[in-house]
Amino acid sequence: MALAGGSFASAALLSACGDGAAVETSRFGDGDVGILNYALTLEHLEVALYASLAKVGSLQSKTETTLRKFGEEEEEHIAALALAVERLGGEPVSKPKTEFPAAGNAEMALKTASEIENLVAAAYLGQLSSIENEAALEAMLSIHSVEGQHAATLNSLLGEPVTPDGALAKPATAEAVLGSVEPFLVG
Amino acid sequence: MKQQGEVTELSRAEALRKAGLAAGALYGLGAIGPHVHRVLAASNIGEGDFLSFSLKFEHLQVSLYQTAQRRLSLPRDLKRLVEVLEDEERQHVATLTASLGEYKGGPPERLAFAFAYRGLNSQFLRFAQEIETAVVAAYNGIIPKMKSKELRELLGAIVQVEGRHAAALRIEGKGEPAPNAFDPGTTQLEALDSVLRFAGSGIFR
Repeated sequence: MALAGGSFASAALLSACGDGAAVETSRFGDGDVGILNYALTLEHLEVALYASLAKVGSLQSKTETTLRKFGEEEEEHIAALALAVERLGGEPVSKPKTEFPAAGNAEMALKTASEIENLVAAAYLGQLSSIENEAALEAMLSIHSVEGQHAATLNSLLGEPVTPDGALAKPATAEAVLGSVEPFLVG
Repeated sequence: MKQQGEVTELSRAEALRKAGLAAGALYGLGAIGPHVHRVLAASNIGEGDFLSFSLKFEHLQVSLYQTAQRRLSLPRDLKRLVEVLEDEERQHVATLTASLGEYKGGPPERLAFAFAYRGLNSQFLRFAQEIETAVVAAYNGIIPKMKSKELRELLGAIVQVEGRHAAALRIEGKGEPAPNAFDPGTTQLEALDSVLRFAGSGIFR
């Protein structure tokens, strides 16, 4: 899939308009376990993304440091979400196989990262009203705002608005998000 | 035995109340202190109380960015960012005011805060980062207590934007944009403490 200048995240956000309750996280488990495992899948995707970006040679040193830090934070999110799943009696999803096309240059790499981070932030927001368990909600919230910070940082590196939706961030449904990231999940 | 710096919520509430009422340096923040005290004393804290507290912090942010534009000589990029932040915080105020009207039957009192900058952009940046970080933590503490799914979604949409603001300000301050992997929720008192730490810095008049 060509990523340069792509707008798969925008498509997902547009799809989010409508019935926000129509979430499709049941393939990851029932109720809150399904939601947490859905988030866990997205975190695995992000870790794989940052690992792939580490291979891009044309990034500035400071940017590389920032991306490495973000990747480490996504690893922490994985651990926290897996624990939250287990505390609800569920089984954390395993790491999916992912594949990212080689980024031709630094800008393409940052664009991909920005789109995925913005999408993941919207994905978390899309689930906040569906979670029942308070501890699970607290875990999702504590990650959600950090994903927003990652997205804003990448937008800033690209010279794009840090708040692309304006004063109120837009949610995205699981169906729309999974449709958008499907090309990167290969097994 | 208590650790150094450990205080009970009650004693902190009392300290905040006294600070808010007695210290001229805390002009404006006194509007938050008594509110927190009242909320803590109430046996039944409802959606409206949480919205009201959130609204006060949003007012504080609007005043902060408004004053910065009036009194500081901001470099072009920072000025542009502060304009965006002020505009978005104003929209948060409008949105929360409308929501609060539904829960309490009318708009809350209008709040104004007074800041006394000494012309230091670094002081402004540090304080603004602190406020945005405190607001994110406060929202993350409040949202799980909201019974209404609509309000949960609304405050979620706001807190993500506050997080983005915090990152943008940290970038301007040459700091790490996302220094921590998690933004755990805080109590309202803890959020207020983050702001009151600046009481002696001369940032308030």
